[in-house]
Amino acid sequence: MKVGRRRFWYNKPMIRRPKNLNLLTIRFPLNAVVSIQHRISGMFLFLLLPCMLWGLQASLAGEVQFQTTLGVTRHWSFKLFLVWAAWGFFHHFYAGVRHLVQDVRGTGGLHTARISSRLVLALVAVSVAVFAWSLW
Amino acid sequence: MRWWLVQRISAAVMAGYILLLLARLAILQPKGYAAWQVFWQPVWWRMLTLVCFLGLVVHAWLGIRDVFRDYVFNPAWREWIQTAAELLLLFYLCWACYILWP
Amino acid sequence: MKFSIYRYDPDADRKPYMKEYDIALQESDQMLLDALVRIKELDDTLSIRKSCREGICGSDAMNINGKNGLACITKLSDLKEPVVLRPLPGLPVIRDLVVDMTQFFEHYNSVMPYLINNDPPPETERLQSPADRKKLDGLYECILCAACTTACPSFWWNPDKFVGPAGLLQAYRFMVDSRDQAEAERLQNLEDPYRLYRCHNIMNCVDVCPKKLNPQAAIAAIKELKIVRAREKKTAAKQKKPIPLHPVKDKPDA
Ligand code: SF4
Ligand code: FES
Repeated sequence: MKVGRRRFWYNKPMIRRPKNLNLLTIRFPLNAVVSIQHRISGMFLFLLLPCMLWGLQASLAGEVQFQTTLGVTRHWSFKLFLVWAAWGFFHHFYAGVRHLVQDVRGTGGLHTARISSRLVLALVAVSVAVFAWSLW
Repeated sequence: MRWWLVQRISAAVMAGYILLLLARLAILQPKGYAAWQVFWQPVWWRMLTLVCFLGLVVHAWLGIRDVFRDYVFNPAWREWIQTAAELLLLFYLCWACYILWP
Repeated sequence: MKFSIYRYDPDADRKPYMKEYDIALQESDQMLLDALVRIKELDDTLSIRKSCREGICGSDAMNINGKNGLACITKLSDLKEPVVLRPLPGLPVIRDLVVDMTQFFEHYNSVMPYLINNDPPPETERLQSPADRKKLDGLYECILCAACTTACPSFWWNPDKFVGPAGLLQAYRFMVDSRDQAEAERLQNLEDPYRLYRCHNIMNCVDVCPKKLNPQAAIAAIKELKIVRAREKKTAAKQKKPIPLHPVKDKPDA
């Protein structure tokens, strides 16, 4: 048997062993999907922070800049981008509220979690649709 | 434990602010630059915005820290990117102050 | 029935691979474990762990068609073919479907899964009211099969630091035990950012537990208990009263 390097807290050499961790072979339940999307949308929003600040600054800087900012938001490609950002926001928001509720004791059955996952996805879809509709 | 709690409280603060923002947008319906300026005029509103942004910065800081703790295993590396993210957030905070009180 | 099974023999194989089996089942073969035993009759190089064949010992947890579960209580008729069998994710594979559970049990051990009570033992047993006993329902039934812990992404990424759902469930089981006196110690034990707080309510643990337990709820309860106790400490300090915690003199048998 091959003997590997020393590992973690074991103070003895360990036999090097493979791990079964091919994510494509593991089924992810809906709850896990909603949860990981919460994280992805959070990172996405983090990256969007400067855009948000820049937009606010430009819109308050003066009449001309205000009009240009508005002009930019009217372009279809930017609208598409806004819809994407709205997905990030709504998902992070609704899934976040769900996680908050989960932290309260006595709300955590598997059945409720499944229902609330579906609810979150539905709410996100509706909200993004409403947002997109109001843009066009 | 304290930070875990702060994470959740800051989330609640932001949620409250967003509801308020939507309500104000719905009531005042600012159209055009003048109205938009009036919208941002009141000092209490700017203060609230700053509070919300403070919450956002803290929330983002803790959130990103959690992400690094989950996926970045080399402690030295983790320290580095974490510091970078912290500096970035600090910069955003200053920027927000500057926007609100030019 | 068709099977596709993860095979790895450290002495012979450089890398794990999937091996296909197509076997004729007999009428008495109802559960997945029966089929595995049947396969082992044909190919005795296949290694599995098993013992009780009734969901009590927790030996034969594995990843069945992408979901962790016990082979002995998984009905063959519920499975889609080919049945893909892999070892529990995120633990080192010793051979075929057998994983090294050392890490899992180290974490289990680290939460002090035993009663700590320094009062002299009474003549009969330490009694509990039915209400107090009821608090342990849904906690004590765990068979330590590791299905939950190895289904948890937080454990996959930090297996050396995060205690995992099974360990935390047991931590809570002793915190709420009316006969236990070391609650404060147990809470302190989970203070660092990894041991408890890697849990992000993903719920995979609840999804797979073959005993239908809810580790996520136990973890949420621990987090809440931490806050409650911290507040009690604060008010007690304000009123200059002694802190209402159970004192622990020293641990029995280290
Ligand atoms: S909580 Fe359930 S899944 Fe986890 S080890 Fe115990 S019995 Fe197995
Ligand atoms: S053989 Fe004991 S739990 Fe399956």
